[in-house]
Amino acid sequence: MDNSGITSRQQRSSSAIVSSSDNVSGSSSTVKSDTNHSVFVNHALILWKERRQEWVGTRQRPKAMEPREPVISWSTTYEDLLATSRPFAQRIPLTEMVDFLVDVWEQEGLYE
Amino acid sequence: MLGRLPNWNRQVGFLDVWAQSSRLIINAGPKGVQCRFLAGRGVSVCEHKKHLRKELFFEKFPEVLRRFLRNSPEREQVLEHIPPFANLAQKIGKSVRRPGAMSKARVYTDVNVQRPKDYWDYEALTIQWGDQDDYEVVRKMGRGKYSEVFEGINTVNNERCVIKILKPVKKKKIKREIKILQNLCGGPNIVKLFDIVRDQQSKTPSLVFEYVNNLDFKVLYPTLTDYDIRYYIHELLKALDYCHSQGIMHRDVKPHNVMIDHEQRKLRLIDWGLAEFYHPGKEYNVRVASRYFKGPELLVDLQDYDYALDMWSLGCMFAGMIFRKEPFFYGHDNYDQLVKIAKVLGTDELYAYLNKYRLELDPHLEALVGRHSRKPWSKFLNSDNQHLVAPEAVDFLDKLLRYDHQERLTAREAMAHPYFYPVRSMEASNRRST
Repeated sequence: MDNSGITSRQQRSSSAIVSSSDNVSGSSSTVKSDTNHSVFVNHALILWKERRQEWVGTRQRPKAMEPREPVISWSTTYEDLLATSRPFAQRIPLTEMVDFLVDVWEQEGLYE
Repeated sequence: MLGRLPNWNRQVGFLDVWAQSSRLIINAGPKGVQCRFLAGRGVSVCEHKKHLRKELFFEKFPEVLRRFLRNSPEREQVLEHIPPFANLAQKIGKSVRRPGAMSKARVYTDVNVQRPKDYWDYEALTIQWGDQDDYEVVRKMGRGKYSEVFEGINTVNNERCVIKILKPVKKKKIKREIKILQNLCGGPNIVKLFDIVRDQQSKTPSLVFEYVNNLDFKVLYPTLTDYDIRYYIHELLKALDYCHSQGIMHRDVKPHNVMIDHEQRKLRLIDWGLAEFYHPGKEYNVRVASRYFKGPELLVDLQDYDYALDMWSLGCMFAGMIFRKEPFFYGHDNYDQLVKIAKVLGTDELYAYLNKYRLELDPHLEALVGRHSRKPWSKFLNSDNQHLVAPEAVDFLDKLLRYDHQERLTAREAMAHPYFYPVRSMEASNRRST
């Protein structure tokens, strides 16, 4: 069973929802004046920032960025590389994939 | 033959060629050319869609047409009259709306009115970009109109993720998606956005999401039991009620955007690229959602639509699941989509809806829609799907697929429907046992 939805809601009901969702459900709101803007705290955004920090983690910067051999050969076409969803022969750095796609999109005229 | 095409020199127009059971549809507009090839008898067995750049298209078209005719050797003449070489898209105009019948959401109407501007003013968002070098891609997962999607790895912690590399679009659209995902963070069954990174040189943004081990819905849905469908639709409703309660409509609910990890019975509503903040009375763009899931409001140009749009899309998806008919309303274009809906829900009901909101269809569209009586849901029953179609399921569906968006169940009301009793009692007993 998936309980992540439930736990996150419990988390929220203890913090976030207190101010936000009670206003939302309308009729029986506790604060009902034009000044209740100041009451609203975006707990979702705070949670998001915390989680992002966790996810990005503490990385050792700067990591030695030696110029690596590109994984994608210069003659590779979109079809060669991306026709199927089978795993690539080896992992491709995101930067390299973005470079590759930008070339494809340029040829498709998406930047015109 | 090409010389006979009207507007050929102006490079705009609509062409519909039939040969035997194959059909070639070309729609050339100022922005580009859409070319669709439908082969098969009646129903299309193969649909090839390509958005081509205009110059490229006009270079290649003669060859495409030759190939098309060569493949249908039995009857080489092109039937000019089904329909005539006419610019259909130009012929059908927008509906006319007389004043005095504005529409507002029945629930969560004022969420954004009550919240401060920086909650919903996505254009003011300043994005803190993360480091692109921390990610690698492992395989391609999918391709959308606005992005290429990969399975990726966060090389710092070796965790799996989904990386959505965004094609060049307006900055405003990117900000909207990010703002909405931040505002919905922690919500039930809403896909989690982990990081936002950008390529230094090209400024290409990539969004990093949690990984969901999704099984393609075309494979998964036919294997689902009656209870599974109830369970997953209920899970999807949790996400919808949550986003609506936060003042946000998804506007692109469809099976492709519902990731299901069946082993973990985990569902995530993804792709918030078309999602928008709801402001009562605001007129929105009707060019949202995917054709088969577009609500009547979009097809008749009712612009002050609301969260209830998502409930229609959900209804289409649900109908597809219980009747094992995907997509349930199979329109060949946006006009035909309304026709397909009218053939099921009836035209008297359509006109009642239009009257209520003082809408008048363009006469050409009206002619296309014709007159149809309402079909009973039982007409869609067959030996393949009857085990999925309980009376409560039909009652539930009937309350979602209403022309009038204000009549549809809200997500909250939907969750309380008897169709979900078994799911809710299972949830309750799980809570007791933990």
